[in-house]
Amino acid sequence: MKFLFIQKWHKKIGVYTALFVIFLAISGIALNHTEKLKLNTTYIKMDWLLDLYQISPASEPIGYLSSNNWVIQVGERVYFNNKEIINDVNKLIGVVNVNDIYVIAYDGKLVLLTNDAEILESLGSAEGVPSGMKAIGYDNQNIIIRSAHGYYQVNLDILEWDEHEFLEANWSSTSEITKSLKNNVLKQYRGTGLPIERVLLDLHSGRIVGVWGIYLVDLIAVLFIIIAITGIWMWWYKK
Amino acid sequence: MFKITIYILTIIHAICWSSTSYAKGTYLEPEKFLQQVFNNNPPEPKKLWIKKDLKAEIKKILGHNLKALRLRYWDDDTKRAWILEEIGRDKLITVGLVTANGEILEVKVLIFRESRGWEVKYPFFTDQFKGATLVTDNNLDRKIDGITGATLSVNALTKLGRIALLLHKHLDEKK
Repeated sequence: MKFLFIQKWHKKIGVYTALFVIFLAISGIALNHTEKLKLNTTYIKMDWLLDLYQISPASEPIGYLSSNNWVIQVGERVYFNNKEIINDVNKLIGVVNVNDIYVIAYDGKLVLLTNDAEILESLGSAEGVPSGMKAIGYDNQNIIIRSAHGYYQVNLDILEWDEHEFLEANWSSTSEITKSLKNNVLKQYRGTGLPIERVLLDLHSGRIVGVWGIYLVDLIAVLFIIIAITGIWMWWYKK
Repeated sequence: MFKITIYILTIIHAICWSSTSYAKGTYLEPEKFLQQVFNNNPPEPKKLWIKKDLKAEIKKILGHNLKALRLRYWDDDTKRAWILEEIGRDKLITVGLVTANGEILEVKVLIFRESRGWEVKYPFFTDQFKGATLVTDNNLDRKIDGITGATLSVNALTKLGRIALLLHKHLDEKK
């Protein structure tokens, strides 16, 4: 009687949880090979899913216009017109164009960009970029940097940083971004904001539907344990 | 009982907070790294243009194009210092490397921006690179032991070690 009762529930739970077992096994295997399957570099494009995850920048895009080209910060990313060039930016400071090279200042770095939006090089504190950069500008083909400690006239070719107490310059300042470009970069930002890996992880853990999803996956896990125990018990009982 | 629970939770929180605070950050300012390498007198940086053939070899190692057309390096005629960056999982890891006579003298993690895999900063890991040279296909002459949970950071540092040696070899061949 006891054996039949347990066998009946073992079968029922087995049938009810079969789909979950298959899904969790497949998603688990996929997550174990996330780099090989490129799950972390392939992005979700579905608007409803991006909306569910609220993928959008924390603040409005900020744009600097130089020689008819835009350098725009959206969240932690920086775009040259509509091409993403830098990731992991805290604060974009400005851009100047000198001798057909765009010099972009952000955080403690200068990035030199060609007209084709190719990064020529990236300069940091090791190359002499002053800490506490506040503004970038130009004066007679010279790059001028205003930092927390003073003003610098910069020769980027030989990496010479002439410090001054004060320098005049045409300082790079923000401009109103055209609506179509703004929409374009915002669309791009959203399009590279949610990797498949994130969604698969949340499906695997149940988080995708919030706290009740987690409890559901917990319940399924408990049912797996019950099936395992009842299975062993029936085998032992028959033996 | 309530007090004990609060104490336990506070301790757990402090441990979690301190472990994440270890993870990210600037371990050594790049200019300080250069000062250490060159006894407080670093030479002027030199330029290395990444031309077609070199670019292709770098791509083979990194698995993607180098995001720069030229690099700066520091050379005092006895050794060369490189400050290179590569993505671990999502963010760049900034690494300082010193090369001389075709081998690596030193590897130091300077800035780590990821939330996991920071254990690569410890000497028990970076010391494995000391004396490493390039063999066929621009591989290192030795196996670099990984760290559980830091596979991608380990891979990034290993790639940068190979790149530094490749660049060093390239400059020697140009002489």
